[in-house]
Amino acid sequence: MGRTLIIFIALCSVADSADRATAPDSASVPVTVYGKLRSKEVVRIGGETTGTIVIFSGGVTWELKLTDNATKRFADENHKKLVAVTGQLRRMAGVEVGTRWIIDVEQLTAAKDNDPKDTATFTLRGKLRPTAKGPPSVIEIGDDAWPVEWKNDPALYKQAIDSAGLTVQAHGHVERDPNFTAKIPAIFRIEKLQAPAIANKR
Amino acid sequence: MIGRIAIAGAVLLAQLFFCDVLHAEKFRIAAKPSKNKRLAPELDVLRECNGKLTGFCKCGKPVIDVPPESKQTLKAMALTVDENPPPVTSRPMRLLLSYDAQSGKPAAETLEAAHLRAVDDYQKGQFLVVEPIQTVSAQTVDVLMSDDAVVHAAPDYVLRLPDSKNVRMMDTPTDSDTPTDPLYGRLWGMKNINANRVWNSGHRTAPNIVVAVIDTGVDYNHPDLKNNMWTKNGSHGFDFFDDDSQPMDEQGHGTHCAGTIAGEGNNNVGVVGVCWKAQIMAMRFLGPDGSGATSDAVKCIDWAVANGAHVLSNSWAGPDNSVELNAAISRAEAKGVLFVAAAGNTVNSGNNNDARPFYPASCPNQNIISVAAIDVNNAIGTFSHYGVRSVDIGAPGVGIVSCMPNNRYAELDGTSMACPHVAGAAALIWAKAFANPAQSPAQMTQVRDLILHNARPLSIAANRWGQAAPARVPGGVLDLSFMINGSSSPSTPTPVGPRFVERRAVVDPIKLR
Repeated sequence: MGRTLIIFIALCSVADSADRATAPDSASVPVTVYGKLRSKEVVRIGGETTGTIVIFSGGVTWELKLTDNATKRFADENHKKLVAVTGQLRRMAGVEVGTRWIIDVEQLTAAKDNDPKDTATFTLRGKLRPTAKGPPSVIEIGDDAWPVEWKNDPALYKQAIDSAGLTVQAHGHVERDPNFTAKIPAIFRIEKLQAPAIANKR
Repeated sequence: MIGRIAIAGAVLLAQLFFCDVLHAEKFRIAAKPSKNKRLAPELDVLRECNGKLTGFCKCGKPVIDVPPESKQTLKAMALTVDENPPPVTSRPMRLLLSYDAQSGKPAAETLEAAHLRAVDDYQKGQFLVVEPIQTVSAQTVDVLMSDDAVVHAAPDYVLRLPDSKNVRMMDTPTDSDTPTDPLYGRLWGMKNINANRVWNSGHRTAPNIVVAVIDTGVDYNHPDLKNNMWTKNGSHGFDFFDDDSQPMDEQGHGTHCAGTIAGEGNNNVGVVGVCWKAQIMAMRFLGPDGSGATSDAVKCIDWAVANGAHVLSNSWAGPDNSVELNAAISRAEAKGVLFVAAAGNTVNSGNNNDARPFYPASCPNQNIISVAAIDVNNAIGTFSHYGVRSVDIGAPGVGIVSCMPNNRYAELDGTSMACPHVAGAAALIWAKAFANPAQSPAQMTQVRDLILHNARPLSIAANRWGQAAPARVPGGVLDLSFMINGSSSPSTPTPVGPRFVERRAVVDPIKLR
């Protein structure tokens, strides 16, 4: 955990520098968030906010970028209510807030009774960056690096180690980092790995 | 009109053509009623010498447009010159013809009849630079006087360097006057706004002024802040994020702002604020990720006003307006509390707040000063929001070093860093201007006007901010040099109309359904 955290910090620093120097946005990651919507009264230091956020996993806060009027209207009517958000998550370098986490919303609906509560799921498609020891801690999506952690499952660890260097599709959920900071607001914990290219490695 | 020109034009023209070298005591500012009742926006240096006021524009041209109503303000701005007045010469072949933009420029026929040729049209200063084509005679003056568009005629003075150097050298304090704060050398913003010159003149503290930092809280144990914290019943403010009386900063942003406002000066520690001593009231409503709710901001505003704050520093914003927020700022305005607000940041591009407002900076209240960011080279911060009608002034906001929680320091960028420069300046001005500072609409208005009236024009920002009331100087940036060697009591504030924010009343229609 500690090592992963250090690597995460280092990568975020590198990513931030790169963001500032070149492209402001990271690669996009498909996510579905089940959390509480705030569509009014949202302000932030330096005004760096879209004005709409979703809060989940005990405090993880991602901004929502709403594009069409119908979705904006829905958001306005569902202020402080539980919702399900589907979209593409990206990281963007801020001026004062470090990294901004923004979902380009594709669908915004009221949470259903049987929906998961207070969590988010993700799908990462990219290459597992090999490590000297243990399962990879980064998935590379193009030039972008996404730090990940793994569910405590020996079989999954082995699969991850075997898949190092391969392009994979990883599924999991987002947790609030116990060492919560603005720069590292959440942990992407992989629970399932689809590695169609494993056979190709050998 | 003829009479005015006769006094100003004829005398100066006579000087031009009969004196090779004009000395400062001969260069007298010609008073002239000005339609907008303000100083020339290019004003750079003004000094009182032998009872007379002399001055120069940014471009090196003499100041010739000084409304008599501003005499008090002028005296507040004047540098006393003890040494021999510097020689001022003129280009013998050039004149400056001032015109009023409303009346139009001097006609080409006038110039032709006066045997003058236009060399330059300095529209910002509203004057033409002209050269005589042939010998100038009394007829030249008569012709100029006959054109109502000609407001003034004056020689094109040339400054001698020695005096300019003396003025510039005052930008850097002597060793004995340099604050002992070890990071002072990195505080370029303090020099940019000429705070160091003001400190050297003895104006450093505002112990009776309360500045509320409405933000992520403040580390009130920080060695550069602990002696400058407002305190009441053992508390240094209030935390509306956690609803308790311990507004400790968990993020760092508010502590950074507080250090710029009133980091303790000359204490051998860290940084120094614009104001070496003031009372920092810590108001927390933004959480660890730097975001919060307007409703909590409203509580902060009301709490700070009720507990005696004179200035509210607001380095936060959002894209949505709020009736409640407007009402809270109005309550502060009615009490006479100044509301300084960051214009906002957008990476790389900035944002035109006139077209796409950010609040509270774009709220219409007259107690608001909306602040954009400039960098060490006097360039606009690439991220800084702007708006000729909705942003009022610029201030240092790139590479700003200040306090962070747990005895640390950091360099940050943002209009959030520009905002506290203005808030700290407001405290310093308020303390100097009023022996008995109070929450008072009259006092607040005068402090606001002194800040905006005396802004230093930045040509590249002239079309970015400061073109609508209460701003006075297009593209103006914060400059405290007017406080040196004079009373800072302003003249009667110029009445201004309602602060105008284009499209501020536009409400997203979907929010009405």
